[in-house]
Amino acid sequence: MMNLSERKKWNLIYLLVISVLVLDIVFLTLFSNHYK
Amino acid sequence: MSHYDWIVLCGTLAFIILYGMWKSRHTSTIETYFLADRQLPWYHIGLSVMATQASAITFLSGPGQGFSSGLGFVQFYFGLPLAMVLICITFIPIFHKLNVFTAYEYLEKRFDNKTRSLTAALFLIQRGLSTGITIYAPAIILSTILNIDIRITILLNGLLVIVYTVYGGTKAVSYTQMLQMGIIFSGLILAACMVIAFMPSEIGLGEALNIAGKMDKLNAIDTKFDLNNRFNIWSGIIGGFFLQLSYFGTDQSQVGRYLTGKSINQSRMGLVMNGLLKIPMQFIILLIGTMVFVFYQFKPQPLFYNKAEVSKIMNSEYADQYANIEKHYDAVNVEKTKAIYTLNAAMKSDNEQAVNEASTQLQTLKLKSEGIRKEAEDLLKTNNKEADTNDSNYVFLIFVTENLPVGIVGLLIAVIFLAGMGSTASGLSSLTSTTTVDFYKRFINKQGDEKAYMNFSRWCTVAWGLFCIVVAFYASHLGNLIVAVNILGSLFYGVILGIFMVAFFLKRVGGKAVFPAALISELLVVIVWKLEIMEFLWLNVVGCISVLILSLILHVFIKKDISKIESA
Repeated sequence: MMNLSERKKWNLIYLLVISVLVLDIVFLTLFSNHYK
Repeated sequence: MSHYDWIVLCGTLAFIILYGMWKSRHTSTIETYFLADRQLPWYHIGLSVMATQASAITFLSGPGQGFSSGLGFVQFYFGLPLAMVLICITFIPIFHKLNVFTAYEYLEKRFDNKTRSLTAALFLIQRGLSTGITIYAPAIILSTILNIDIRITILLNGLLVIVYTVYGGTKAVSYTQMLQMGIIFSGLILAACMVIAFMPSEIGLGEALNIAGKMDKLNAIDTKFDLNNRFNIWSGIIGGFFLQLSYFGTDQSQVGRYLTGKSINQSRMGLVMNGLLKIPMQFIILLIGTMVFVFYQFKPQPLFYNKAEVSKIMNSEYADQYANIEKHYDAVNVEKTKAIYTLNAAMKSDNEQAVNEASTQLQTLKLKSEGIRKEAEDLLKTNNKEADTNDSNYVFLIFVTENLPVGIVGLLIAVIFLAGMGSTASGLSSLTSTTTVDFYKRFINKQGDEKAYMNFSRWCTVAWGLFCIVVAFYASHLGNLIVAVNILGSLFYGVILGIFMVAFFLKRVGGKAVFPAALISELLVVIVWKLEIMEFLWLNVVGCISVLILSLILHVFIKKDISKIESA
């Protein structure tokens, strides 16, 4: 079983992955609109 | 290709293969052969996972997609980071805890023998066919460059992979993949720099992007929900999520990569790395394709990039007609180049009205040239019904060989080769581990010793390698190969994922319900695909949800039957 701090660390890593996905989508949207 | 290119190509391939074989020289147990002793660190796993997914198809069809359709394909990967997170939370801890060799072993522990066998069999069919296609893709390169029979290049390419996979198993595969990814990244950066450097002097990256944008090549995001639109943000996030979840969570060619991790956390970090890098990497590959498109706006552009098809028609009764179409196409392209220069000048001077006028003229010429190309495609079909009119796989290849300097050509051809070899090797390794662990050890030789299993595994790798080579011979008429592989995956992945989802999340449902549910769902997916009701990415959703719902319904009926029998 994972201890609490380990679990927190992994939750933060997962949050980072999802945030980067959101940033990717925002970047691609802005990029597409800029070069329309 | 010059002698120097051949030296670079052969030297790179030989160095990487020999390095992988040397690193795996002590392989003597099936734990080492299939799982590299479960000792690999996270960056090794991350690169190996990426190398497995990024086949030669990625580097041929990827820029081809960018060239012909723009950046929209990048949306296909939007579900991937989400899938990575769910796999890290759910799949990896269970697989590690149970110490399994293959993902399907878990299904016997959770359900029964027949569900495990059905899922493993569906995987073998799907992966066997897909690996055949991944052998075929780089073989096009050699056949085009050397102008020799494609069957010879398929054989050469397939046999090379068989040799080092048979010798070192997963360890050889992983070590070669780590170096392969290094060379692939360097090759891509070089190709991107070169394509910009070879544009006319007044066109830099900014101008090239502006031109690509005005020609509708930089539309990365489509927010309109449409089941029949192959690439939009919704199909990417929802359909892509299901496809990537099945691919990384249940496809042994990927599960086998992260089961090699030293610990649960090392395996997780490997997948996190993939989740972070995949979209930017795919974006760059597609962008290279759009830059190649811009590059050809300033150069005489071939009407058709597949030279084999061109030579067929030039030797037929339609040769004159084709030559006329070509002349017409060249004339329109000259006008188009002028219009692009006008547009570029207008954009530089910030003259909005001039920009609009030039854009309108460019759009008209673009439509005109697309019409002429369609005319040429129809003519190719009239001459030969079997003609392969999708030439997007050839675009990047022709650009590299005809425009890049000596040495770089060899390196980029090596990149495509290495990419193909990496995913083919993972495919062969997973086909062997599934056949050995899920079938041979359970049904044919239950009490065999380590040596017997090793011998069988090595012969099995050879047999699967030969099977994939045979499939590769028949892969030439599948259109865009990256799409063909994904359609094939989508036919099976949804159902396989559904079985695993029931296993993980519907704890009360047993094998008696899930087995028929999986069979019915597979039939349903094939029917939906045949009737062309929706685009292929949605088949993953249909397959998975259908297994979940049917399993629940059947579970209720089975439970009722059992209660009736018990009360009687």
